[in-house]
Amino acid sequence: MKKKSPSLSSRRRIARAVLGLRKTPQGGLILDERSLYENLYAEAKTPVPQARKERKTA
Amino acid sequence: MEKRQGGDKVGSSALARAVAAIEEKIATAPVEHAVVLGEAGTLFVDKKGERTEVSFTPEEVARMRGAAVFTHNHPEGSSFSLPDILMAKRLNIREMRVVTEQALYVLRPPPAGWPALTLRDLLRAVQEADAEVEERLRTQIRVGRLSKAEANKRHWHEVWTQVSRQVGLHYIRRTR
Repeated sequence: MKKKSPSLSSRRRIARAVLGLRKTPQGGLILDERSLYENLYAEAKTPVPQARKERKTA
Repeated sequence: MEKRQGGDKVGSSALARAVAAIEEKIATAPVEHAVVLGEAGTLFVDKKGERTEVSFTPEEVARMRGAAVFTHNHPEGSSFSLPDILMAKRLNIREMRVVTEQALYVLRPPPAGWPALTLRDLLRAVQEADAEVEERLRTQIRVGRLSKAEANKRHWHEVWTQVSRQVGLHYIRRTR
Protein backbone atom coordinates (compact mmCIF):
# COMPACT_ATOMS: atom_id res chain seq x y z
CA MET A 1 0.00 0.00 0.00
CA LYS A 2 1.35 3.40 -0.96
CA LYS A 3 2.01 5.67 2.02
CA LYS A 4 0.06 8.92 1.98
CA SER A 5 2.21 12.02 2.05
CA PRO A 6 1.74 14.21 5.13
CA SER A 7 -0.81 16.99 4.80
CA LEU A 8 0.31 20.57 4.50
CA SER A 9 -0.92 21.29 8.04
CA SER A 10 1.13 18.36 9.38
CA ARG A 11 4.27 19.53 7.56
CA ARG A 12 3.79 23.09 8.78
CA ARG A 13 3.13 21.90 12.32
CA ILE A 14 6.36 19.91 12.49
CA ALA A 15 8.37 22.73 10.92
CA ARG A 16 7.02 25.18 13.50
CA ALA A 17 7.56 22.71 16.33
CA VAL A 18 11.20 22.22 15.34
CA LEU A 19 11.66 25.99 15.46
CA GLY A 20 10.12 25.91 18.94
CA LEU A 21 13.49 24.94 20.40
CA ARG A 22 15.48 28.08 19.79
CA LYS A 23 18.95 29.15 20.83
CA THR A 24 19.39 32.59 22.32
CA PRO A 25 22.29 34.69 20.95
CA GLN A 26 24.09 34.09 24.27
CA GLY A 27 23.83 30.30 23.89
CA GLY A 28 20.82 29.68 26.10
CA LEU A 29 17.70 27.80 25.02
CA ILE A 30 14.08 28.82 24.61
CA LEU A 31 11.49 26.12 24.90
CA ASP A 32 8.67 27.69 22.93
CA GLU A 33 5.68 25.39 22.88
CA ARG A 34 3.19 27.65 21.14
CA SER A 35 2.90 25.23 18.24
CA LEU A 36 1.56 22.63 20.65
CA TYR A 37 -1.35 24.69 21.79
CA GLU A 38 -2.78 26.09 18.63
CA ASN A 39 -6.07 24.62 17.62
CA LEU A 40 -4.81 21.87 15.33
CA TYR A 41 -8.26 20.80 14.28
CA ALA A 42 -9.92 24.20 13.86
CA GLU A 43 -10.55 23.49 10.17
CA ALA A 44 -11.70 19.89 10.58
CA LYS A 45 -15.07 19.08 9.08
CA THR A 46 -17.75 18.21 11.61
CA PRO A 47 -20.96 16.24 11.01
CA VAL A 48 -23.90 18.25 9.62
CA PRO A 49 -26.57 18.46 12.33
CA GLN A 50 -29.59 16.26 11.51
CA ALA A 51 -32.08 19.15 11.59
CA ARG A 52 -30.12 21.05 8.93
CA LYS A 53 -29.90 17.97 6.72
CA GLU A 54 -33.67 17.49 6.91
CA ARG A 55 -34.38 21.12 6.03
CA LYS A 56 -32.13 20.80 2.96
CA THR A 57 -33.88 17.71 1.65
CA ALA A 58 -37.41 18.98 2.39
CA MET B 1 13.40 2.70 44.83
CA GLU B 2 14.74 1.77 41.41
CA LYS B 3 11.94 1.27 38.99
CA ARG B 4 13.07 3.04 35.87
CA GLN B 5 11.90 0.85 33.04
CA GLY B 6 8.19 0.65 33.77
CA GLY B 7 5.78 3.02 35.44
CA ASP B 8 6.35 6.61 36.39
CA LYS B 9 8.67 6.19 39.39
CA VAL B 10 12.06 7.83 39.16
CA GLY B 11 15.57 7.03 40.46
CA SER B 12 16.29 7.23 44.20
CA SER B 13 13.57 7.71 46.78
CA ALA B 14 14.89 11.22 47.53
CA LEU B 15 14.55 12.07 43.86
CA ALA B 16 11.07 10.51 43.64
CA ARG B 17 9.91 12.49 46.69
CA ALA B 18 11.33 15.74 45.31
CA VAL B 19 9.70 15.19 41.92
CA ALA B 20 6.32 14.32 43.46
CA ALA B 21 6.35 17.44 45.64
CA ILE B 22 7.30 19.70 42.71
CA GLU B 23 4.69 18.23 40.40
CA GLU B 24 1.98 18.60 43.01
CA LYS B 25 2.87 22.29 43.23
CA ILE B 26 3.13 23.09 39.51
CA ALA B 27 0.38 20.88 38.04
CA THR B 28 -2.28 23.58 38.09
CA ALA B 29 -0.07 26.65 37.69
CA PRO B 30 -1.26 29.05 34.96
CA VAL B 31 2.26 29.49 33.51
CA GLU B 32 5.02 27.00 32.74
CA HIS B 33 7.49 26.01 35.44
CA ALA B 34 10.48 23.84 34.64
CA VAL B 35 12.47 22.06 37.34
CA VAL B 36 15.59 20.01 36.64
CA LEU B 37 17.03 17.62 39.20
CA GLY B 38 20.08 15.42 39.66
CA GLU B 39 20.04 11.77 40.72
CA ALA B 40 19.93 12.46 44.48
CA GLY B 41 17.17 15.05 44.10
CA THR B 42 19.65 17.94 43.93
CA LEU B 43 18.10 21.00 42.36
CA PHE B 44 19.90 21.98 39.14
CA VAL B 45 17.46 24.50 37.65
CA ASP B 46 14.11 25.99 38.69
CA LYS B 47 12.57 28.34 36.14
CA LYS B 48 9.25 30.09 35.78
CA GLY B 49 8.15 30.90 32.24
CA GLU B 50 5.12 32.19 30.36
CA ARG B 51 1.90 30.42 29.40
CA THR B 52 3.59 28.40 26.64
CA GLU B 53 7.27 29.24 26.91
CA VAL B 54 10.22 28.93 29.24
CA SER B 55 13.81 29.97 28.57
CA PHE B 56 17.17 28.97 29.98
CA THR B 57 20.48 30.83 30.20
CA PRO B 58 23.68 29.20 28.87
CA GLU B 59 24.70 28.43 32.49
CA GLU B 60 21.38 26.71 33.14
CA VAL B 61 21.69 24.74 29.91
CA ALA B 62 25.15 23.57 31.02
CA ARG B 63 23.76 22.46 34.41
CA MET B 64 20.92 20.55 32.74
CA ARG B 65 23.17 18.27 30.68
CA GLY B 66 22.76 14.63 31.71
CA ALA B 67 20.23 15.52 34.44
CA ALA B 68 18.18 12.74 35.99
CA VAL B 69 14.80 14.45 35.63
CA PHE B 70 13.39 17.43 33.78
CA THR B 71 9.81 18.04 34.86
CA HIS B 72 7.48 20.84 33.85
CA ASN B 73 3.81 21.67 33.58
CA HIS B 74 1.68 22.31 30.51
CA PRO B 75 -1.10 24.67 31.55
CA GLU B 76 -3.07 23.76 28.40
CA GLY B 77 -3.16 20.10 29.38
CA SER B 78 -1.31 18.41 26.50
CA SER B 79 1.50 15.88 26.35
CA PHE B 80 5.10 16.70 25.31
CA SER B 81 5.78 19.09 22.50
CA LEU B 82 8.43 18.31 19.91
CA PRO B 83 10.75 20.99 21.38
CA ASP B 84 10.55 19.18 24.75
CA ILE B 85 11.85 15.97 23.27
CA LEU B 86 14.45 17.62 21.04
CA MET B 87 15.85 19.33 24.11
CA ALA B 88 15.84 16.12 26.17
CA LYS B 89 17.76 14.31 23.42
CA ARG B 90 20.19 17.17 22.87
CA LEU B 91 20.99 17.52 26.59
CA ASN B 92 20.91 13.77 27.27
CA ILE B 93 18.24 14.16 29.97
CA ARG B 94 17.40 10.77 31.45
CA GLU B 95 13.74 11.41 32.10
CA MET B 96 11.31 14.03 30.74
CA ARG B 97 8.03 14.63 32.52
CA VAL B 98 5.01 16.83 31.87
CA VAL B 99 2.38 17.31 34.48
CA THR B 100 -1.06 18.77 33.84
CA GLU B 101 -4.15 19.15 35.95
CA GLN B 102 -5.40 15.76 34.80
CA ALA B 103 -2.40 13.69 33.75
CA LEU B 104 1.27 12.94 34.09
CA TYR B 105 3.34 12.10 31.01
CA VAL B 106 6.74 10.45 31.29
CA LEU B 107 9.24 9.77 28.51
CA ARG B 108 12.64 8.24 28.96
CA PRO B 109 15.26 6.48 26.88
CA PRO B 110 16.19 2.85 27.61
CA PRO B 111 18.78 2.27 30.40
CA ALA B 112 21.57 2.30 27.81
CA GLY B 113 20.71 5.90 26.95
CA TRP B 114 19.10 7.75 24.08
CA PRO B 115 18.95 5.56 20.98
CA ALA B 116 21.58 6.30 18.35
CA LEU B 117 19.06 8.16 16.32
CA THR B 118 19.78 11.08 14.03
CA LEU B 119 17.63 14.16 14.30
CA ARG B 120 16.50 13.46 10.76
CA ASP B 121 15.30 9.94 11.68
CA LEU B 122 13.49 11.21 14.76
CA LEU B 123 11.78 13.96 12.78
CA ARG B 124 10.79 11.48 10.09
CA ALA B 125 9.18 9.23 12.72
CA VAL B 126 7.38 12.22 14.26
CA GLN B 127 6.21 13.44 10.86
CA GLU B 128 4.78 10.04 9.93
CA ALA B 129 3.02 9.63 13.28
CA ASP B 130 1.75 13.21 13.21
CA ALA B 131 0.23 12.75 9.76
CA GLU B 132 -1.38 9.43 10.69
CA VAL B 133 -2.80 10.79 13.95
CA GLU B 134 -4.12 13.89 12.21
CA GLU B 135 -5.93 11.87 9.59
CA ARG B 136 -7.40 9.45 12.14
CA LEU B 137 -8.59 12.17 14.52
CA ARG B 138 -10.05 14.22 11.65
CA THR B 139 -12.07 11.19 10.62
CA GLN B 140 -13.36 10.79 14.17
CA ILE B 141 -14.32 14.48 14.26
CA ARG B 142 -16.07 14.17 10.88
CA VAL B 143 -18.25 11.29 12.04
CA GLY B 144 -19.04 12.99 15.34
CA ARG B 145 -17.08 10.65 17.63
CA LEU B 146 -14.65 13.26 18.87
CA SER B 147 -14.78 16.99 19.57
CA LYS B 148 -12.14 19.31 18.13
CA ALA B 149 -11.02 20.27 21.64
CA GLU B 150 -10.53 16.63 22.64
CA ALA B 151 -8.67 15.89 19.39
CA ASN B 152 -6.40 18.84 20.05
CA LYS B 153 -5.59 17.55 23.52
CA ARG B 154 -5.01 13.96 22.36
CA HIS B 155 -2.91 14.75 19.32
CA TRP B 156 0.60 14.83 20.78
CA HIS B 157 -0.11 12.01 23.22
CA GLU B 158 -0.96 9.75 20.31
CA VAL B 159 2.04 10.95 18.33
CA TRP B 160 4.44 10.12 21.19
CA THR B 161 2.76 6.77 21.79
CA GLN B 162 3.58 5.79 18.19
CA VAL B 163 7.01 7.40 17.96
CA SER B 164 8.24 5.92 21.25
CA ARG B 165 7.30 2.42 20.08
CA GLN B 166 9.03 2.94 16.78
CA VAL B 167 12.30 4.40 18.04
CA GLY B 168 12.59 2.51 21.35
CA LEU B 169 11.67 5.07 24.01
CA HIS B 170 9.60 4.43 27.11
CA TYR B 171 6.47 6.61 27.22
CA ILE B 172 3.49 6.54 29.53
CA ARG B 173 0.49 8.64 30.45
CA ARG B 174 -1.01 8.34 33.91
CA THR B 175 -4.23 9.97 35.06
CA ARG B 176 -3.73 12.09 38.16
